[in-house]
Amino acid sequence: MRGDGQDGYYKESSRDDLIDQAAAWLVALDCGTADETAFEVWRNADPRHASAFAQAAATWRRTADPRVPGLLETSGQTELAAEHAYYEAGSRGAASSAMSRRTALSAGLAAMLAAGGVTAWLAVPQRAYAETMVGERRQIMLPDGSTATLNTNSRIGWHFGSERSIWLERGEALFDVRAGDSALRLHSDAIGAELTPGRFGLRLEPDTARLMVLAGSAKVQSYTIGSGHVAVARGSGLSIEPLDPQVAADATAWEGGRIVFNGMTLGQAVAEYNRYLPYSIVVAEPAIASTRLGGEFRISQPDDFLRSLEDGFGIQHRWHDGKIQLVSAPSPTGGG
Amino acid sequence: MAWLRDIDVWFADHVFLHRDRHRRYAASIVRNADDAEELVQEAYARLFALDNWRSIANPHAFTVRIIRNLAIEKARRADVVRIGDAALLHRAEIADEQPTPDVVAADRSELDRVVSAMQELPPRMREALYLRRVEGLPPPQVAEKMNISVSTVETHLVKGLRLLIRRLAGRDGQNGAENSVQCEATDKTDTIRNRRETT
Repeated sequence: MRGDGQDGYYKESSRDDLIDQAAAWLVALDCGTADETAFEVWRNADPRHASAFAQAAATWRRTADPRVPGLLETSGQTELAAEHAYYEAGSRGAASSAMSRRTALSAGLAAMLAAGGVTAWLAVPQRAYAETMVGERRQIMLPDGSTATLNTNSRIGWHFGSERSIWLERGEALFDVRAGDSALRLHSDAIGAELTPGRFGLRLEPDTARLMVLAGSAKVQSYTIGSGHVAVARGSGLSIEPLDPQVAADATAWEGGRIVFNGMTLGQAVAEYNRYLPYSIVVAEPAIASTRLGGEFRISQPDDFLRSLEDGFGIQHRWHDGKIQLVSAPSPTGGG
Repeated sequence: MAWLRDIDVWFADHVFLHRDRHRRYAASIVRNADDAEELVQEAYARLFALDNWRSIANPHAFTVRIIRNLAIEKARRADVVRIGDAALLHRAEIADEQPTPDVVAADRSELDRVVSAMQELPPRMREALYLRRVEGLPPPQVAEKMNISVSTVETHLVKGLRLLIRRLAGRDGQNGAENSVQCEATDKTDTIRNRRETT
């Protein structure tokens, strides 16, 4: 049984004790309530203490990763009540308070150590938020004069300090970026980019994210994407494709309150329209889902869209169970 | 934040990032997950006793080597060292000192685990952590929003952080990162178990 007494030191219970102590020190230091001298004594007493503390700090730091808000959002488990409170904070002129703090996310160890310390490493820049409800559209003037236009059911956060950062947490937005001292960093769960001055559109969907470069250029990973291209992130893959000007115009028509269907199927068109509606339109008959259609509609006038379906394709609609069902009209000759 | 040292940052970015690989490596040498974690923790503690950590060229490989040396030390303390043990140590070392594959991907799966651990926290702890860490509000503002005292905010944060650390270390509700390796190493670990039982 040689050595067992020493081994026992690392056993479960004492490891848990170390975790508890390290977590308590870290939070107390973070909240400014710790006796720093006592902390130094504790940390220096044993390399295991120093190690436990560094592990706690590494985990603590992760909780403020720029991608966390997006990940929390997409998994749909965020407390609703809390969510509401955050929104209020964001809309009450939080932009000014966001600018008052000069903390910054640091990009890497080398840059940080070169900058003379680790002060910023655990810091979280205070963010401001803005969001739109379903069917809503909103333009936000950012602190540097850049603008963000939010499409339906979207949410952004931003922090403009020594770096400019914007997070798209859900939905879709157009960004008109002004020149500044530094590149503007655009974050989202699926894709991140450094933007030059210009115009960009980012749309998040459950399985894909599309970043359109309409003017200027965007750096995604190690790729520089020029104007007239779109970066599509799907799973862990990234593809960069040329962007047809007409496609780009259609994809940004929402900015003017319009929705454009250019040869897409009824199924796709309905899915697109549903983004803007508090209720949903469903294609009740699979046979008509593949009908291809074109046309331009006011987003705020779904009745026009439904009437056109009836006039142009004989597709009728009826309310059922809180939804609008689309069905093919009975054949005019069928009744005799 | 004078209390945060350069070595803490270095450790997080160059060593702790590869924690899963360290645990898998350790689990391929010793009998169970608990002994493996013990080995990893001991190796990490050794790093914090070093003066020259800045000059370590490959901190991940260095850490793997410490784990291996600690395992050898332990084996030497035992009465019998079997050929099987030495062979296993050798094999595992080769398997795990290959260049770290895709740090970005590892980073993301780690982040996913952090996020799901955050979501599993009890609501008040989660709210406190969200307001402090994601929104970046100072503790007094977190307290105001949650309508509680600053010291209660601190309590929620401490408890939340403890739960996060334990969950990420697989100490609570076992996330089973070791399982795959254990099957592979079963025949070898049997010799270790036999040895222990005879001492």
